Amino acid sequence: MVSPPTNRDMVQHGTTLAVDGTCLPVKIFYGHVNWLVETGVDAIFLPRLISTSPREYICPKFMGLPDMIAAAFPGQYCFITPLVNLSCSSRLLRKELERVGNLLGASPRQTRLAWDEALAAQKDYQAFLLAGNWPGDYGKEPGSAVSQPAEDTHLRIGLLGHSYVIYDRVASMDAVHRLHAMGAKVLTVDMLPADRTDAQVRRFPKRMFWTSGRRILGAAWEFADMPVDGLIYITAFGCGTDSLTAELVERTVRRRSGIPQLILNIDEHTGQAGVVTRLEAFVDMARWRRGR
Amino acid sequence: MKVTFPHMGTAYIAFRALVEGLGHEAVVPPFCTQKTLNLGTRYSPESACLPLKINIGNYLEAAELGAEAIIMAGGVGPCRFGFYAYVQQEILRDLGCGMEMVILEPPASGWRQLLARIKLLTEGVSPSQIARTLWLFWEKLVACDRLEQLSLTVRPYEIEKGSTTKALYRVYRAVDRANTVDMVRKAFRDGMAELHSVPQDRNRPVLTVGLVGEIYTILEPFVNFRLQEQLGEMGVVVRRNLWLSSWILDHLVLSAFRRRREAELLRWAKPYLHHFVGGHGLESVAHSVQLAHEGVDGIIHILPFTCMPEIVAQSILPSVSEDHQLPILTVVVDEHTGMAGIRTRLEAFIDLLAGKKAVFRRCGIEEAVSGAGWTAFAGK
Repeated sequence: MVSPPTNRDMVQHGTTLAVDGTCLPVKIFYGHVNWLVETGVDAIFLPRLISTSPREYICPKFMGLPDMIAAAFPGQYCFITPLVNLSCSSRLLRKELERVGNLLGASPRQTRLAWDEALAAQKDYQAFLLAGNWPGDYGKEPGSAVSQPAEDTHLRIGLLGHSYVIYDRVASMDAVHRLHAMGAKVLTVDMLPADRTDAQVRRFPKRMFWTSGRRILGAAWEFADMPVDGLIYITAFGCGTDSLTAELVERTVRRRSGIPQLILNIDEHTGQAGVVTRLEAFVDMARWRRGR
Repeated sequence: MKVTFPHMGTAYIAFRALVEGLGHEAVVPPFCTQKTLNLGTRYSPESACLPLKINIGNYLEAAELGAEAIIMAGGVGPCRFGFYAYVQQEILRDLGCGMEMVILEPPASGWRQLLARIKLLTEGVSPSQIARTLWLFWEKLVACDRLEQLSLTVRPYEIEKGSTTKALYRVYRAVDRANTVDMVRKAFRDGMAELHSVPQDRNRPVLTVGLVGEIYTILEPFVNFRLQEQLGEMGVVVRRNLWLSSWILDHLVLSAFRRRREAELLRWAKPYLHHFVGGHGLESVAHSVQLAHEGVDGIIHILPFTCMPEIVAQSILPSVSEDHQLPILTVVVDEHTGMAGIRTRLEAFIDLLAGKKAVFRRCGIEEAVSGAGWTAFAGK
């Protein structure tokens, strides 16, 4: 069973369950776990994501998330928390997978096959995004996908942010659909090939140790070089990594090119009207600049 | 060259020695004040954590005094601190503040890189002079830490309020003035004696509180509103396991040997936290459990607003508190935190601890834990 797309109710519950200073995505995460607990599942799959790329991290909260959740839902729940740490040897990952497989009653062979299948699916999904599609359209009939406006007549907006923010309709206040409705073509980090963003970020004087921060900074510079007509960075209130990544993006892009930037900081109190007004104003301005 | 560095508690004493030993002029930024904070918040990203903002304030105030270079530490993540220096560099650059930044990255990210970075400071200095300077630096760090540690157990008993703090600052100045290892050791011995000789009433009943949390907010008296002094003057012995010297050792020197220390912390943190989470999140949980076993009356957990590793700890500490029947107060500080608010919460917390201890004393541990003691206490 998978929890449904985020809704207001989940945000409400998550806000109550998490400590004050927690960022919005983690509050939403608490809301999703709460939904699963209330629906009555036997166990919750909640991997501990340390690093999904060698010598990189996602963020400290991801590393402690299973423990934070366990503290908020004491005692009675079974959490399956494999350790995902690709900075360590691949043997660790295999051992962890086998442990999970064992827990679910699968033989090591079955686990290995399932893992290969999962990797293939992930690769397929990433290729799908790279081709300029949206996560919500994955697995749907080719014709039924939400099509973007044709490129030649429209603005191109680079959208930056963590995937769990920009693809979440609540956490991003539905920014993607609103931008589409305004006739802008939206490009995300996932639509850029990894080697291009990697080549860009290598110019940063320090190894960027946050996986998504690395992608975002690389993408921002790539977008600035393309160039797109505007950059929108959606951050969640309380996000620690974004607080510095956004600052680096803003200052370096401003120095490098004059493309307009908008940083939208969204929390559980953000109102729709405020977001719409700012997006409209930004798109209007970018369009005016383009026509000039 | 005129070299400065950000404030962090008494770190300036050792860093001054380091910079001067390498033949540069040390510009110690003015002690953190509201002006520092205002300057820092004006030019820093709004949602960055507090230490970054205060650092910026320090740099700008040091720039007014003519500083040309900054020494700043780096890190290998996942805490934001690892990018502080780079973001600060960008901010200073946009402000037109042409200060050179010497970033001390932990050797985990490469010894050669570290040596290349400090070349700006060490050029033309003989290896023996560097070694002597590092030794002096280390002696000063350890001396300050141990003096501070002693002050924590003297202050609650002092007869005249503030006398320990006054003595402590006198002693710090002596350590600061010392320019050889022998002089530091003498200043240290004299300092210990001076602190011991502060008039005390050793029969006074005191409470013991453990202090855990993010290291900058623990060490820097301006951002924690002189928490240790306030607590001491309320008759509370403060115990903590995080010290500047151990941080420097772990963070900048021994990060390669982190695993062994981490295993010990993980043992303490079990079953609450099973993994290192960056910064001092794991330490906060592990030390809380450790202090609970050592029998403190309560724990204060301090962190800057939105600090990622400490939010993990903050989310978990309620379980520790419940399992060990130990009150834990979380103090979150940012640029809007006011002295009065902190003071009120500290007083309420200490009252609670004193009440709890009185109940323990009156009716024994079993009753108190079972709740019977509490009911009796609350009913009075």
